[in-house]
Amino acid sequence: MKKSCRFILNDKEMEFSLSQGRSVLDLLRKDLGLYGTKEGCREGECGACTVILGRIPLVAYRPMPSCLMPAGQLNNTHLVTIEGLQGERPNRLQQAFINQGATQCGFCTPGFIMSLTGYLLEERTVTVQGAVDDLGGNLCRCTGYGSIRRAVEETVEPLLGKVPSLQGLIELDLLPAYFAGIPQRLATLRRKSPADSPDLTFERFDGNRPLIAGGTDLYVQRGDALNKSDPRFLIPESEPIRVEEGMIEIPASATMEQLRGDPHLIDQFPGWREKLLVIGSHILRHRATLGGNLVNASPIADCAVLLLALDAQIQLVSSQGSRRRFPLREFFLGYKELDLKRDELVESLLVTKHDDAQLWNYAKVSKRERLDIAGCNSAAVFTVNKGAFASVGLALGGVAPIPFTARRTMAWLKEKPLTRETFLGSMKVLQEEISPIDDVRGSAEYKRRLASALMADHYLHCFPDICSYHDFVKGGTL
Amino acid sequence: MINPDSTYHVMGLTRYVDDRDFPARGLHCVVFFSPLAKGKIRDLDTSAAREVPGVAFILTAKDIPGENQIGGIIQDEVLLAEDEVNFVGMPVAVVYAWTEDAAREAVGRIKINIAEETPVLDPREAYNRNELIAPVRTFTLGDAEQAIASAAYVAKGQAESGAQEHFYLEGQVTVATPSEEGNLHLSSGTQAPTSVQRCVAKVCGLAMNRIEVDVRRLGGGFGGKEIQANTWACFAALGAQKSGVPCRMVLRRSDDMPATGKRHPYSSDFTLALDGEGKFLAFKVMYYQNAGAAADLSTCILERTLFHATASYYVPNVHATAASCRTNITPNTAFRGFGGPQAMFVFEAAIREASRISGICVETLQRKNLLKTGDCFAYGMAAEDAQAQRCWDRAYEHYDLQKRMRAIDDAQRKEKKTPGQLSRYGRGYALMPVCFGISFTTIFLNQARAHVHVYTDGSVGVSTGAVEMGQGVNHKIRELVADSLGIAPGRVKLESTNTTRVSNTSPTAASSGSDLNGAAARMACEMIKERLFKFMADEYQCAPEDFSLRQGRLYREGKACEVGWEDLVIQAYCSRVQLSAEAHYSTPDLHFDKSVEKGRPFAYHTYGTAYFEAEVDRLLGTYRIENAYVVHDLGRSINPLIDLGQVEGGMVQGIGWLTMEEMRYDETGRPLTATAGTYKIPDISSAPLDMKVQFLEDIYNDKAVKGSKAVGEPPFMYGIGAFFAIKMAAGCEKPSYCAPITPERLFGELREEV
Repeated sequence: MKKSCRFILNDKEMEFSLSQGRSVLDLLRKDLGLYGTKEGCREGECGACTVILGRIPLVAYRPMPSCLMPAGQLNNTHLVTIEGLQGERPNRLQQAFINQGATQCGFCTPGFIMSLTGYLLEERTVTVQGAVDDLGGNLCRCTGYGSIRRAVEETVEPLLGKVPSLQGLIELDLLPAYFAGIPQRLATLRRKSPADSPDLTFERFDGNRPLIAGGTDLYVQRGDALNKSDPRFLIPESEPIRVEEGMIEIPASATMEQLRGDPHLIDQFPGWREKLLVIGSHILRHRATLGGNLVNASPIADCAVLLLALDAQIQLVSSQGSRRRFPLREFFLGYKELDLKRDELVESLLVTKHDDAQLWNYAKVSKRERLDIAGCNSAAVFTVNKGAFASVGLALGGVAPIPFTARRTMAWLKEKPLTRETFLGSMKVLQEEISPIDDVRGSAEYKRRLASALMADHYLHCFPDICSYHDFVKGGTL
Repeated sequence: MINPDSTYHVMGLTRYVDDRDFPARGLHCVVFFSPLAKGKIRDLDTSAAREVPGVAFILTAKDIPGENQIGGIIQDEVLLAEDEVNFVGMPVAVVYAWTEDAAREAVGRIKINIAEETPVLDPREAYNRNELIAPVRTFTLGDAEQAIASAAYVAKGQAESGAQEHFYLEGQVTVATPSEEGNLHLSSGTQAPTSVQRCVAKVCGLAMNRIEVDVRRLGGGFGGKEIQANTWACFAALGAQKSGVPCRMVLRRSDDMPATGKRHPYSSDFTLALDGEGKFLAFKVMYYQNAGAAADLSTCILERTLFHATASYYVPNVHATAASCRTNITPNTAFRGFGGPQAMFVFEAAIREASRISGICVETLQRKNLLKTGDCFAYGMAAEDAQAQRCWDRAYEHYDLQKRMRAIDDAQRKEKKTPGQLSRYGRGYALMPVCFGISFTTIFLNQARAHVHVYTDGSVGVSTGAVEMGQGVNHKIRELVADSLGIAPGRVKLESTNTTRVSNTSPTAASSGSDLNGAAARMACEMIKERLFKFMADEYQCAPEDFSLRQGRLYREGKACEVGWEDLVIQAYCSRVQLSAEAHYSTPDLHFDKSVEKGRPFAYHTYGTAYFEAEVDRLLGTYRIENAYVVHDLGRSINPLIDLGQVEGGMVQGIGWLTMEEMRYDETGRPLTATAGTYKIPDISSAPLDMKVQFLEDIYNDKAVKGSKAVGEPPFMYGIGAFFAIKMAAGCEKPSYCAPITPERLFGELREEV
């Protein structure tokens, strides 16, 4: 079923009727003939189709892969493609790519330009490392990235340490002048149709229609079917993360990047931003939502493992408006099986707010450090009282049919003294309660041993004065 | 001058084959692939597929008007399966529909019933069953057996290297458009326009002159579109021929990865013999190449493996045997390095094994045996103007390697001495010298033609057989032509590669694109200049040799004349001087006699040395390549910015091959990692953080155009050094030479030690 959709595409207001589930990539290339956006993989893995989406005033601009975006989510947004950066000649960023030879076959290049422009538009302090980190979702097979790094350095040089403004970027020849008028134009657009999505999820329940949030799993699994579908939407990053009654309340629509950038979580968990870099890529983290990651029910889901260790609660809402709240670990019943009724949706996740920083760790092992599905991942949160464990949160992915809460290990550790022996002993308990299987991510034996290694990593990270790598080697638990 | 293509790339203006409006009265094709690796087709049911609205027709093997045969060198590969399937991903039927959606839906409704047979997946098993693509080949020098018998140390072992997916960002693509006479125009993403032309002609049953193949540029090739573009071009052509309307064939990533060939996995047994001082005495090796289900280019690739058996080293006695083994995976194909990387990996493994048993340090063995000018290769050619030792020594000096390596050695020694202090993070290093022979080893391919038009306003159009795929060949030729005519590069336009303008092209491959086509373009320019100078000599009453062209002006005996380039051109035109030229270049002095496996297959060799440092997390089995320092000999660079990009890009691709890129198949031959989500190529944070490249600046290579050297493939093999740096950092004592060294494999190797 086609529905009307109103948005600004580059410098032009658009209104047309389209299949709500059609991917923005197909909309751009096949319907609108905008060929600057390239199709590389249709999985969000290569970044060749990166566009920038602006939603004002709720959020600013975000780079994201257009292959995983349903066109129906474009309502009231500013969609920027490579064509939308175009002046008569290359801008400063484009010129830096030319100067450094950072484009060879050229197929990945528009995606890189869009990701980097997106980085500059995100209202964060500019650093070279930050810019490079944000290119993690863009693959180039030609350059080996040396020239791309140099182009990044050349581009961000005048902005280092600053938080660029829209106007500043226009003045530096990094954005075309029409961007200055966009906030006003978006406001006008929103007055005409106040809802971002023609079908707000919680209000009109219809279990027969697919529900798409970020689409990062769904479009990979069944993109062709969704392309023709009439889905309901949960718009990524449409609600803030709040603190209420001593709980950090994370809406299901929160993106992984929103999670990564949340000031409360950053305060509570030292190293939060850096550790979460291994989850997806920057452009994917702008699409992938927490709710989506949980209901996809992958036994290796990065956010599930993280939130299980944090002892999060999950809150569900039914079509009748009734709510259920219970520990997230009870949500996962079996392989791809959830405690979620047909007329229920995940509304939010809740994590207890602490005023002081917590001892925690998150680690993941995959073939490529970033943007790869883990062989195993694990998170742990420890509280300590008088030299003993007061409480332990420990979860692992890839070792069971569900994202696994190591309850027996957690219980065993409780009130045990912080010693090497305890650490080594806990790894034996852990081995007894996990049940990994052979699959493409690794053999069962590998994952079994990796689980112990990740456990050791938690101890080494949180208690470096009590244990050393050698202890674990000698202890024979690895 | 900067490559003008890059301006279009960064602005998103560049048009690849599929970046054009495709007519509504045009057909989209989607292929139905074999789901099984081996078996007899009992039944193929396309009836439900035909019912899908929008489907025009479905082709199977029996519908092919010409020959159902696409074998390049050996005629052993059908385009569409007839009565049996030989690999998962083998094309069985093609659906043509008015929308891509309809075609996809129809493919989903095709049913196939196959009497499944047990596939052969292991090349050694195939060898034992005598499933060979071609007879085994052996290169020999001296008497290896005798030398081994008298050696102080004999290192033996086995080395494994894996398949590698090309992962060109632009998938395989062809759009075929029929003309009113029933001729076909193909806009194709191929590295080998003539190969597509020949193959399409054969399959469609048409003469070659009725097929026009046009290639503007590719979004990456790396060898994956050398011969494997043919299949998809044939499907587009067959549809256009049958329907009379344009036909579009674009492989999605999810179809491209499982259906196309990869770099060949190799399994090899080696023996390296040395004397007491570490001089190499003999090398004996047996390579089992996993060719996949059909020959493709496997035999040529195997040949290059033999050419590079002793890598960058001199070994006086060699016995190298290679077998191309037929298995039930996708027919493997060309990939940057073309068999060379697999050979060099084995030899470097042999050096590590030799070091392990002799106690002589790896770098001593490497340096002591590096090729010198005059050293003879097993194939009978002597190294000319060898730069192996110079690159090596320059790397030591320039990057202060002695000091860097000592620091790491000291740390390792300290760790070994103090038990109980085993460190979680280990550092390691490795040097990787590369010597790579330049020329197609199939000698007749070492030819190229170029067509140069000078228009009456002085602007220039150039057509050659080279295909631009990101390696900058068009721009190099532009600069060569501009230099030859003494005009600004901006005055020169490179046309698409088109079989009606330049015929019988060799593939753009073997690093030879600019060597061959650049030389032909220069020759064409010289022909035009000769005519212009002769014309001016008549005007000025002097000798043609008195003239030269520089900076857009005519010079006579070193002095600028009043005549500018544009004036000269228009005057010559009005005097009926021919302002176009076609030139043909063929590399001189190449010969090879397969009956004795001796000859001079290469015009020259390129050399270099790379140094890597890696850090391994021994707890988790993960690693990082931190430094990559290179000294590379590419003669006189035509464009240093392009060449730097080739060196860095090739090296990182090589690192990927031996580290994270893992092509896995299950026991039934089904590929497990043939998606973008499961097959990982290096991203920006896994490429070495600190990459430095230095070129030897004083080399003039008189065997190639303007003193340059080919650059495309050689840097790929630097990546082998990254593998050994990781191995050293891990500190495993047990010998294992198994690539790729994924975190899973490294984790396993580390645990075996514990």
